[in-house]
Amino acid sequence: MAQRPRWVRRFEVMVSILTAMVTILSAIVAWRAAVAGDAAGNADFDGMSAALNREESRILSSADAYQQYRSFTNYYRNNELGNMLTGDYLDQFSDEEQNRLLTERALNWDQTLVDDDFFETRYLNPDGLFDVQRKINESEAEAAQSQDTDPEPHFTRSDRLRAKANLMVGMLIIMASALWFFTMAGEFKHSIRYFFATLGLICMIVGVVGTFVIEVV
Amino acid sequence: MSTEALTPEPIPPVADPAAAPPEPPDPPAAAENTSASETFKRITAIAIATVTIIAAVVAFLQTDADARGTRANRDAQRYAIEALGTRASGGSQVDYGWYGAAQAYYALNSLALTASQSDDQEAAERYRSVRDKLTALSPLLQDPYFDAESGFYPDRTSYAADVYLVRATELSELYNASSTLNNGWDDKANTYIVHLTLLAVALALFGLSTTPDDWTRWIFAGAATLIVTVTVIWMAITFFSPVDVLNRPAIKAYAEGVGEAARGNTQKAISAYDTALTELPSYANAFYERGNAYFTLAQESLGTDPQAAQENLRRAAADYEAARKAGRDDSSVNWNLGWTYYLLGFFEESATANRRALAEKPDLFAVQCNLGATLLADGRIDEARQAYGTAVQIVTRRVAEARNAGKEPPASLWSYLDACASDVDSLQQRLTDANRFWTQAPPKELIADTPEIRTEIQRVISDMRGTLLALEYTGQLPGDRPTANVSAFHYGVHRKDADGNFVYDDQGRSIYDDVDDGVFPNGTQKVGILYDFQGLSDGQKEIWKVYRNGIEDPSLRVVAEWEIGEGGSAVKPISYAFSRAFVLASGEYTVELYIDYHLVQRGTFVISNE
Repeated sequence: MAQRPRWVRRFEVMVSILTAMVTILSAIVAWRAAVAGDAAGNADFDGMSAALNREESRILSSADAYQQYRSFTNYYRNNELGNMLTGDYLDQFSDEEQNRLLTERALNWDQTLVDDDFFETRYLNPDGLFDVQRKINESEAEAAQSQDTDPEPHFTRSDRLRAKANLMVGMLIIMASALWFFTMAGEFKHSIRYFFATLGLICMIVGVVGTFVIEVV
Repeated sequence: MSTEALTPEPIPPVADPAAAPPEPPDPPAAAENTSASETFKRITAIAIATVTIIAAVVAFLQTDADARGTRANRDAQRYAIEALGTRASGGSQVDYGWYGAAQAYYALNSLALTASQSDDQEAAERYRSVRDKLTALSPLLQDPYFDAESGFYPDRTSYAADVYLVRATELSELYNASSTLNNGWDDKANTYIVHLTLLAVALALFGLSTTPDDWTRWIFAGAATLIVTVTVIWMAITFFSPVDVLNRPAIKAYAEGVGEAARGNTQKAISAYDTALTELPSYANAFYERGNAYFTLAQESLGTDPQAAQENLRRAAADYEAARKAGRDDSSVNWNLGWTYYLLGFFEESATANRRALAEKPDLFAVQCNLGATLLADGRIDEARQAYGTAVQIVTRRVAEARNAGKEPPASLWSYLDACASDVDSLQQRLTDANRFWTQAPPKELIADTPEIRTEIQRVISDMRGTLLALEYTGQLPGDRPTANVSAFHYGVHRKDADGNFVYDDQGRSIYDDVDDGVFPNGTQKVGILYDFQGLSDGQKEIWKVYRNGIEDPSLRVVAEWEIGEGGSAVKPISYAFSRAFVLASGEYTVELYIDYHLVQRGTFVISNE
């Protein structure tokens, strides 16, 4: 058996080394894809927690605000009934009637003193009405201070990481192509093997650079 | 020296120069074998590399499908959470409007009315003034939900539709669509995993094929090639299989339809569902809701002119059937479909639909009742009796189970049981040409009308209503029918003297004047039910139920123990006489008397509009 020329053996060794390298690089790409996928899952979880916090805050804020608004309604009703019995209005009645109406007014206004213990008077507008929307907004803002109530950034991050994982797996196709070309280069004795080896090398470089870009960007 | 015989050494045979030497291997054939083996291994190596590329492509597709599925799953959860929050916070707002602002408004309105009737016009004016100020507190008390002049309560459902119902419905539908999307992509991802597994097997077989040098290597290589070929074809099919997409315009139109239906704009709701179905022709929920909308239209004429309702009932049935075909073949659809077929007089189809609903949820006793009504209308008395018997068994069991567990049965159980009897009542109204606007029954000419069926209808009404009361108050079925005999009801008004004061006898009992036709003028506060009785005994359970236009008015229900002896004459007042402001609203009143949870008499009087 004739001994192969040294440069041929060197080429075969080189192809073998490149094949091994592309295999190792593929494993690294797969690892990075798995890491990105895992991080995407974590971001989803954080996003769901934030969404839950937000809805909990909305529900509790609304429930509290409208409970207070009911108390305000009682207050408003009693206050306005008392207000009706003031000033010149009473002059049209007899003394006896006036006394009865004054008692009624006192009862109404006394009741407002009880009612206003059950809502936060600082939400009263200059027109005397309760600003329920402001109360809700402030409660939600308060909740947002102590807990994460914004799921959007998490979901955006999750989508980005998932796209990254997908692209990384896409790079594996290029790596597998490099492997295929190296195999062809190793198996063919024809000079076309150099062409295959070159294509394999190009694929490998594209795969490595692509992975690096995906990882960094 | 011993003389031993010498054993001669064996002499190796001498090669026969004439014999042929062993054949050396044929150098060209060996080279050919080696070359074939090398070629095989070379091709196998290329095949392995090729399968690796295919596996990488499948891995990419699997990752992509999995990512889409995961995202759809996440979105589904997110929509579900948002829908819950929207309903709860919107519900708080609407509840305030109704139980806070509107209740306060009507409380002041009532005070103003009472003050006005007591000739305290100043107080009435004060109450009205404060009442009107309250309209600023909630949109529910403002246009377009409320018109103080109309005399109607605020339109709470329209308000709810605007505040949260449309949005919450949209979110719920997005949740459903995302769940479907998730399932679709998950199925794809899982199928790709199977492909990857098959490719791994193929790779192993290719690897094994390089080990033996004989013909068996072709078995491994052939099997691997077959697996790869099948996998690639399967992969292509999977890749091109469509997955449902999230059709937001269809969902938005559907949610608008639900909102319009809640606002009472049935035609607008149907238009919205039409749009949804144009966008997504297989939208099962849109078919179902459009069917409900057509049913609502049919209801408007169903009581008095069932023929006029036919067209809309047919459309409703067609939509329910379309919903089934589109994949929503559940108990709700079949329940409504069965009832619609019943009203159309398609009894066989109705029974089939009811049985489908029962096959899915055997505990739906209301569907058993519908089945009973269908069979009764179809003249199949024995089967109807069996269906009603099953319904009563289910209800009894559920009440017993709930009470034994220290819980209560669902509130709907009582209303559905009452509806069971009302439906048979409607059947009777149709047969006796006593149609009312609330009557829901098939066209008279399609009902099997025999004396036995009319008797059975009476029995079912009595049994169902008695069962309802006995279960509600005792948790048990009613005992033996009492011997009580109560005459047909007459109706009367409390006599007044020339000054308009009520007249009483010397024992302080009200004196009533009989009203022959049972029709009372608008503004009547009190109606006396006049009757004779015998065979009763003190201590028996006495219950009076009053239905206005087919719906019970619970505020007029009386539950007591019988205490006026074995026989005689009596009057039962039905009234709001304690109030200065309220009178009996116009309508048809059906009064029922139960003794020991058995219906012993029922009758009807009318408060006219004039």
